[in-house]
Amino acid sequence: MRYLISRLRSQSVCVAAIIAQVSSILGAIPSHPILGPSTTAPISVDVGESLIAGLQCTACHRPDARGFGKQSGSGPRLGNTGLALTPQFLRAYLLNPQGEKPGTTMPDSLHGLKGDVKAAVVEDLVHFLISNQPRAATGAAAEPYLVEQGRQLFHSVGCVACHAPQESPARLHPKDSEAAKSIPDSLETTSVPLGPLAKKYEFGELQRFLVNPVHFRPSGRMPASNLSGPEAGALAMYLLREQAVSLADPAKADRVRGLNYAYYEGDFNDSADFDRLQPVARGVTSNISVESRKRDQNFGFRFSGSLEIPLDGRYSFTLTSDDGSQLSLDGKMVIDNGGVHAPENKKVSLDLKAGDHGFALNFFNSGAGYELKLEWSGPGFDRAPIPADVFSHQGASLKPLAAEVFNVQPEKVTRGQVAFSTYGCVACHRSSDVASLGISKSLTDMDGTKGCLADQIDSRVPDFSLSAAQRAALRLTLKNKPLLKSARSPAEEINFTLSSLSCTACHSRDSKGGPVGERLAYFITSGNVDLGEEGRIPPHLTRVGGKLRTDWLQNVLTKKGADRPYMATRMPQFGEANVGQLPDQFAKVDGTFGIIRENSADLHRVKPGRKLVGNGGLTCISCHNFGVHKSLGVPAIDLTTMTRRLRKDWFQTYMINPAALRPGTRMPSFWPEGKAANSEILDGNTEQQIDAIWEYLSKGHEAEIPSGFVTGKMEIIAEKEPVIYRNFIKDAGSRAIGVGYPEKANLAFDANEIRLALIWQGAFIDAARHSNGRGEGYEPPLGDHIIKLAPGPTFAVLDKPTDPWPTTKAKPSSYKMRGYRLDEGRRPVFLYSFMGLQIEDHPVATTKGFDSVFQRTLNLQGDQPNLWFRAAVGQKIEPQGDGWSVDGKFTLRFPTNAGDRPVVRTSEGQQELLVPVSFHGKQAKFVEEIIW
Amino acid sequence: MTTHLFKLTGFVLASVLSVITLRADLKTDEAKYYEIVTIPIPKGITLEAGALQVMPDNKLAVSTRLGKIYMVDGAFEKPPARATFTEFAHGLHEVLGLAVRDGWVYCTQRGEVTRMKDLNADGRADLFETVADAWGVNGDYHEYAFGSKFDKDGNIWVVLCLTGSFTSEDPFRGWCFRVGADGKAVPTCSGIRSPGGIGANSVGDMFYTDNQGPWNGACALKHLKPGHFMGNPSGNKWYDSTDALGARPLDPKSGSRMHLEAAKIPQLVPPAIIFPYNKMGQSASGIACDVSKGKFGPFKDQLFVGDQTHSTIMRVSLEKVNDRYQGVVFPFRQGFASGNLSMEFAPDGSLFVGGTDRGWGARGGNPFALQRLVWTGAVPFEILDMKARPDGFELSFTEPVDRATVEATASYTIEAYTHIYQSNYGSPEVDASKPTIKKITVSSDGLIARLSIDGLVEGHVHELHFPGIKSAKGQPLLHNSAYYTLNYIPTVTQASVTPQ
Repeated sequence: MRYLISRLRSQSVCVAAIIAQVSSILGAIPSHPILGPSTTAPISVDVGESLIAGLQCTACHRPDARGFGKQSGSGPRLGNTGLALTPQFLRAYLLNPQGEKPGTTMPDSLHGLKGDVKAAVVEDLVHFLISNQPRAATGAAAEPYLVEQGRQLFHSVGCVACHAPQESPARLHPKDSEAAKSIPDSLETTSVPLGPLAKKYEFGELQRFLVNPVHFRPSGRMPASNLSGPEAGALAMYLLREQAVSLADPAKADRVRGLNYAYYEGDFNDSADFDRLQPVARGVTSNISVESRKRDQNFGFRFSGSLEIPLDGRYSFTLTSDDGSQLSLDGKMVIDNGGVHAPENKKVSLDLKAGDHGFALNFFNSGAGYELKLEWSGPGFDRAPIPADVFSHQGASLKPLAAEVFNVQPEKVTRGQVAFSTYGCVACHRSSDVASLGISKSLTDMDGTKGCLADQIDSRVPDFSLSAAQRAALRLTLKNKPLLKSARSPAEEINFTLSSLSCTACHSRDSKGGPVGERLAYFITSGNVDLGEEGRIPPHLTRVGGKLRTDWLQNVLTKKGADRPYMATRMPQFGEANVGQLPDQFAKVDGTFGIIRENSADLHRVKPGRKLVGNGGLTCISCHNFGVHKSLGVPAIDLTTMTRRLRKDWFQTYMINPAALRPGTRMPSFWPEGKAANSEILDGNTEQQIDAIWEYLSKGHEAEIPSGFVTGKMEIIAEKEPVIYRNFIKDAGSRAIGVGYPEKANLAFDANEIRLALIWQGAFIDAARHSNGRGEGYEPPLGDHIIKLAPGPTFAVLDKPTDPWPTTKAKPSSYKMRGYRLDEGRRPVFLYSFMGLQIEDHPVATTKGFDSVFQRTLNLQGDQPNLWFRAAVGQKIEPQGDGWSVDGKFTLRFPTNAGDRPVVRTSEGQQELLVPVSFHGKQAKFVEEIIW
Repeated sequence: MTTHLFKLTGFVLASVLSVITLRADLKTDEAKYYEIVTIPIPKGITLEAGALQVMPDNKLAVSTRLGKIYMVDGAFEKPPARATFTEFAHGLHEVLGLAVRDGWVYCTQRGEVTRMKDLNADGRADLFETVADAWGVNGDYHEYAFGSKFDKDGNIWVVLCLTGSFTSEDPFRGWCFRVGADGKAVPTCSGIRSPGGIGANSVGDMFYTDNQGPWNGACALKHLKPGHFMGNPSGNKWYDSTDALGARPLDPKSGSRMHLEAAKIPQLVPPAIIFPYNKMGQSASGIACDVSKGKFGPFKDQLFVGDQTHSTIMRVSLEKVNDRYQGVVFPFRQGFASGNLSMEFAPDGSLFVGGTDRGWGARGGNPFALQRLVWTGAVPFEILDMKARPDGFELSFTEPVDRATVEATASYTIEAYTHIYQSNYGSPEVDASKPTIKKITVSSDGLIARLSIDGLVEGHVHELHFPGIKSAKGQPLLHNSAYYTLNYIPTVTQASVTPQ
């Protein structure tokens, strides 16, 4: 269905008519206005009233005492403060609003006109509208990673609370094997329509709209999702992805300003070896700069694209960097400024032809300071930084679908202006240049059987394409004169606002509203946070006026004040004019939670309060953040904002039994049945304890941090004997066995892959990561001179010495980890088996001058012909003295191995140092020395 | 999809709490019968007690989440002021299981079951052998592994938490293995989410606690029996990697009810005990069975289950109906110093309890603790046991009751409800009803009351409160609530005859 529609939309001829036909055949596309998305147990408001508000009836019909929203009667802004829309969209939309955007609330005001007459009026209106609107902001090329970012934003920040999702949960969360593989069909007809965006907008216009939708649509029904400019750009790119034909077909790519960059993090020692790494971030940059780095050490950049040479001639390039960098032109390295060094410049002079040349620049910084500068000089200009306008790359430019050349014709503009008034457009789309028609009958003077609601709609009034049910609901409401003549109570006003702005798409109140089941999968927590439903479903609003302070509600509703960092859905902004009245109404309707206990003047309460919040008290910081300090577990709401957010009477009540006010919360009660779980602090007096916490938290950011946040390093030090640390160690796997030796040499053995994985010098390891919070993640070595040893199996049987080294994982093959034994010096002797061989692997740390040495004795019991030990893998393995140097990083010696000479071979594009293992009397034994 | 059909029952909860008779100070009253003795921990030792084991020499072995094992000498003294801690091993990876056999100390680490031995008798282990490592683990914090004591066939049972508690990203996350003496690891059960403890009942059947989350409407105690699917299908893709459990079970339907799905999926076994969220804790943890033959008081063969968040111990009595375990949970003891995790009965009938609140807060407030729960010899007035009958329940008491208060229906409240069985996190209590008591008969010795009830609901938790019941001496119950998980209503032949 979706496919069919998009296909049809891409046709240029008479799209609208075809869609109208199709929709009448299939019936799946709504042919009546959709005011809001489906919600759970809809809030109780009169359906007719919702329609009057949603269809902006009061733009023409004056209401009585019962108002319909301050902004009702103001449609999307047109003219020079509005958005630039494409003529092809405007034309199709005006010809058939429901056909072009099924479900739209804009009526067809021209339904009385037919054929050429209608087409001519529409053409006049299009010319008038285009002549008045601003020049479209354009200027972006689609990037796949931005489209992907937009895809995630669309489906996580809250757009799909009202609009239909465009991807299945499985597509969005490929790692979640349980995510649904399809998009729920039902949402197509119960969601607010988006219309043919790719035909309607230039990229820059949609981005402008998404940053501040309430400006362009003052009714507030499309709120702002607090998107930054770049986020709005990514979202716009996703929504307009149909425009970027070359994303699917790279042959159609265009030349686009700026260079692509990829940003990497890793341990770079002598070259920027990016090929084996996944970039941490990607982007487009106008010039060469390391500004977008996320840290100052161990990072790298690759810039790529084209450099435009203005004239044939001789050019010089000067590349200055700290640490290493390399410049390539047309695929050939022209400057190699590699290695770890202080700022150092290198220069090259080349004869170049005018035109685009392939450009690539790699840069890395390992430690200390960083610098990167590329300058050039050429015919007629001296050495200077390369200007932005000569850089470009291949990208996918965004062009609205069915684009046409459009020239504004003044006579059509003049006629269009008249039509804009005659056909009533101006009633909703106010314009200073266009005369407004007189007000039609007031709402209380109608009986709902004539005009727009007549069975046969008069050609002079707009056709809203109402369904029979909508028409009936409106008639019923219009007949209810007492209702229309009475103002709403504050409680009714709240319900009216929550319903007409679709607050209930996300929030429930008094068990009404909240996301429907089909949409629930799209409400997610940001990051991998274990907060249950509280972490992803926006909070209920039952008695919210009694819970939150009025000023905080104001802050949340109109000043982007939101305090749930774990929730991906963002609290949107509907505009002061639309929701500014809600905080007072909530306060009036929702009442209090009892009498506020006065804060004691005794400042000493602050200290017991701090004690209660911290470790050894109630340890609130197990789950709650505290200012900049992350909690020890899940990131529940920041404690330092509590007293700014909450009313104290609510807090007093909530603390005793959180689940009563927030069903399903994981916040436990620390005063079960009113009795303090901690009977020591303040003698276990419940009220005093709760008040003390309140007083302490009232200090906000000034409060002394509670005890329990471990901020320091927890270095494990081998003093007299080795220390062992089995945990998640970076580059040594999830079952790493780290060993620190008193000689200040360290190793990590990977018990999953059964290999010596890492060696390093100096400090052993910092246990803080695994001793705090829940202990997740991989900890890198704490010391220096870190050497990553060869991946893959240590031993293998090679039938021919030229056979490639196997790449199998240890576990399913015949390797088995058997543990370790501690020798008399409490050094581990690793025990494992391979093909029936019992292997003991015994590293002993020593020092030799400035070098560290592991003397590793390998003892194999059994017998196995053609067995090899792979000692090293590298780019360059060469003899050095009586040993072998591996990439210049470390040296290997085999002192006891005179009979079995190791061999260096090149295999699979790398060098390997292999040691043949021969058995004598069911035993083989050799020593490997690793010196670095 | 179906959530809108079921009204949230949060405010019901508030009203239920109001009917619980508030006692002056329950903690003090509980202490008259069961005393908590705190073993002082020397400065510098972080004793986040992941597992406990009383050694043959009567020392207590304590393993920690930071990978150490201590031998505690003097833990049984009262007060244990002179307890000494000696490091037996270090550098292990989050040890959540300890057992001892033939001079070996067995421990369950995240990645493997390991056995250790002190070869040179210096009090420190120097041989560490990998016994079994048949499952995968990555850097996710949730991939815990809990290990049991030896079962009667010499196996250690290991339950493996899911990855991030939602998915199964490494082999056999969400499964239970039996590890034999020969190191062979046999896949035994699937469907696990986030265990908090594992232990056997008095006849050696193995149970574990699983925590509220996806496919767990509330925390629960579940019976591990080879072939069982425990309810969370996230790890069921690993059926492709083993023939041990036969074909992959049918996937349950999200949004349904456990008893409806269990009727369709033969391998799916409903939890033996549901711990209604917030009423009976929030994070069910360790399991210990009282086989002390009276040294721990009158609750012979019953299970004691810890709760990490509430720092409490609950009391569980099981029975078999329809050849499956179900039963009742009662509050038992509150006021522990940290988040209860590991539990171990000592030969003298006292119960060691180890706690930690790192990563998950707990009422106790201390970052870690080692305590011992000792029966004082006084018998509290409690409901000793509660059994399902074809038309109601049978209550037995620890001492003769006041017949008039027990026979009065006004002494009781009953509510039945269940949870949504769904892939979303947790569940409110749904499908609530109020069964009514028709008739109450008290046995001639005043120790047993038979309740005939209209409106029992199969598959639902039956929550009973007994605010009016008094003992013959005029005492109220020490704990006046009970939560019976009525997976199956017994037929007449399944139920034992009520003594008169």
